Amino acid sequence: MNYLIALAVRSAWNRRYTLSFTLLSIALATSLLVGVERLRHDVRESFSQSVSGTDLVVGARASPVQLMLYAVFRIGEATQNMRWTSAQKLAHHPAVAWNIPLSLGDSHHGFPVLGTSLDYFTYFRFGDRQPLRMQAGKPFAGVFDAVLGAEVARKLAYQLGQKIVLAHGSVALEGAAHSDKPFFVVGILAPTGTPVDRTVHISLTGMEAIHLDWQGGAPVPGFSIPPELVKKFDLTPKTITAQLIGLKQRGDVFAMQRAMANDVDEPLMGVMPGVALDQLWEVVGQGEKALLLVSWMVALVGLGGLVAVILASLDARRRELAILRSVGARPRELLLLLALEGVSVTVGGMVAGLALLAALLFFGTPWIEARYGISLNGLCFSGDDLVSLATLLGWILLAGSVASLLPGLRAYRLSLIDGLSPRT
Amino acid sequence: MKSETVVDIKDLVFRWPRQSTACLDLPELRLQRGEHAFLHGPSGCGKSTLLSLIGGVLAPGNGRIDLLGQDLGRLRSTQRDRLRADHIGFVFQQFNLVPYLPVIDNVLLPCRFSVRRRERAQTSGSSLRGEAERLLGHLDLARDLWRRPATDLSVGQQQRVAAARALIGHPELLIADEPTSALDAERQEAFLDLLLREANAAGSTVLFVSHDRRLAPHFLRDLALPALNRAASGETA
Amino acid sequence: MHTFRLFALLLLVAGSAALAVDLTRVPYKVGERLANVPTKPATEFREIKWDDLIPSNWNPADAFKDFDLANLQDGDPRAMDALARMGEVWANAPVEPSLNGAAVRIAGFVIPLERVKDEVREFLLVPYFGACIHVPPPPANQIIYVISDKPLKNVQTMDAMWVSGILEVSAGDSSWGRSAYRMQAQATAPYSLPGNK
Repeated sequence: MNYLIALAVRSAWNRRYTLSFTLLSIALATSLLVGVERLRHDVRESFSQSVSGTDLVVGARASPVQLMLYAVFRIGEATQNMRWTSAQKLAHHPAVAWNIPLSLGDSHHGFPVLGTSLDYFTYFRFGDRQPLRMQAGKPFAGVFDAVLGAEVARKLAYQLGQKIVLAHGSVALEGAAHSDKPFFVVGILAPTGTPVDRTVHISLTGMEAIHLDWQGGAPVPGFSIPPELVKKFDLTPKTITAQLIGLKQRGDVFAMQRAMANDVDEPLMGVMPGVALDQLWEVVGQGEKALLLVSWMVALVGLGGLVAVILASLDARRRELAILRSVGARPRELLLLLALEGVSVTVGGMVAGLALLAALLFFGTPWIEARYGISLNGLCFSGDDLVSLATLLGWILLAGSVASLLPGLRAYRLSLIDGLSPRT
Repeated sequence: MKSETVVDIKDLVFRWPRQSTACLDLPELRLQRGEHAFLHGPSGCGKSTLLSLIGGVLAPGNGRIDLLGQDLGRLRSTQRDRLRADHIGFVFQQFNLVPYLPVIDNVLLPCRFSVRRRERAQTSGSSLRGEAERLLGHLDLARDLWRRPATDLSVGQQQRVAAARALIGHPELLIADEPTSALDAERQEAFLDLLLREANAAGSTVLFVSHDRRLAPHFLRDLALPALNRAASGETA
Repeated sequence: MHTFRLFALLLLVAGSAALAVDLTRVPYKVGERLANVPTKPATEFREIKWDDLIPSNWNPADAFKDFDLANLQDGDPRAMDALARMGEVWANAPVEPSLNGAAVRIAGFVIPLERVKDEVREFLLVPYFGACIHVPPPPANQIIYVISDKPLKNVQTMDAMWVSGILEVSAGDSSWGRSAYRMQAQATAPYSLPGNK
């Protein structure tokens, strides 16, 4: 058997130019299948890591998934704002233990700017109930203080004391910068592996201050309030984007949702993070299944090509089969030989596919992390992941082996028919 | 223990599956050890069929073929394959070699499929490779050719490699089916001499099939298949 | 030869199908409750139903006890008052104090609260499918806040499960006056109907 494997590999290597195209398509299919699996898993994990211990994410009534994506993950379309008065009412509600107001809309070099309260640094949790830690400095105290997420500080090489200018909107346009009111970095957060890392945090008063002399999304021409005089105005926000709420009793969450929705002043939507994410995955899951199916189609096409190429070459190899029979190979062994050729190309394709995926992940991961805050684990698999990876690879190998049996069977038949004297 | 008779055929009748008449009808054919035989006849008279029967690739219909004392008709096809691997070497007219293997690996092929031949190749004290190299040297093949892919060699060189492969591990029988027909006239005699000399050294009996009667004098026995084959009389095959 | 090719094709199709099809989710209808299935008697845990969580003397429809709806005029404010009072009673649903510390086993639908990697450690258990998502939520005495010793894997919102553990009753410390059930779960198992689904 060992020798048959060596013979098969040599034979395949000898025809590597014709076989290389089928090997490439098998490689592509493998990359796709393993890649999709990896992405599915990492995206889910990354998202569920981003918020912990929060009972409700409150915002204006709209799509729960959109609120989650915008307020917690800071990607996607901006949502309607909710009134500050409603937020205060909730903050003082007897069932509420803590609350964190969130105000989004500005950006700095592509990173979202978040206006929030000091409670953010006390109560916000991520991953497995982990609190935020500072790696340098402290939370904001003054109106124009800013605290950077770890990725922002690293990417832009900012230190404590750095002066930064925030831009209005998610993209920096000419004239849309708040350049008259710069901020100063007073703290840098330790890395969390969540969208917190790529956020610039300022106080709600700071957020109000930079928009004081703006009306309707643009600066009023000829009218500018210098930073020193900002405190003369009332810097209480009028609206915020969303509010994170923690309850004293987690079982109250439904009653709170109802109370919010039926509020006479401003009906609000309270989203349970876990539930909203599950809904998101259900929708995304359909697309993933479609993607998976397409990937399997690619694999089948690749294997089909492999079978076709090997079958096509068989007629020219009848002499070779007769020689092998003459030195004592049995028809069964010739079946194995041809099948092993197909299997060796399949294995080669799988290895190439994994290598391709590893390279893609190596170069793509930093970009995805910076852009979406999703951290990918590269090609490292562990525990359950490893089992599902092995299963997936096993299926591909099985498919390749079964497909390779076709030329094997033909070789078997031919060698029986031809014996020692093929009709070539 | 080897018996003195290498091939013993009695009342062999063979018919191809879709033919109504028999292709071969041999009352008797016996080959003793050391009796190199020259088998001739016009093309289509059943020479290749007979070789396939002796080689155990085809199962005999009626009658008996004994190879080294074993009745081939009573063996299963896997057992016949084994027998062939262990005891017979083949040389064909052309395209004898596996194109994607180098020369030396082609020579070693029988040793991969037969434990017996592998062991016998190593008894002369040397390694497998050493034995293959020895044979190649004796068959006038230069050392720089040994690692080259088989397709790099000329037809004559390839035939000599085929002879080396057929002889490695001292098989008792060597069947050569028109091995010189693709060679030039000058080379034919030289090849034949080499082949017979090495076969004697290995203790192998040669069954040489050809339509070229000029080579017959080299052999001890001269067998005309149409004369032996009762089915040939009055038939066009 | 043809049968072999057919077999190989079937194998490939089966392989892709197995990966593509989500095999485990049972389709429940909104508002559907879990049927009472005869199960193996749990050794330490007493099996209870959701009705057992409601104190026997609590009747939210009390406000309507002496009402004669048929003889009211259209738009009578007393009807709306009674409805509002019923709503309040519903909202302030009390717990059954005798269940405090009881080792029980109950089946319900899961709403995950905390998900770490693929594991769920804290969740809410509710009596009917679609609670809070499609239909109004159940009263406070029909919700159990569960913390599980062994984290649950591969569980999604609205999965049906058996949960066994020690039930705790808390009186509710806020001026909102809500009381609630909590459970420290020692074992969980998926709920399945025998045969007919």
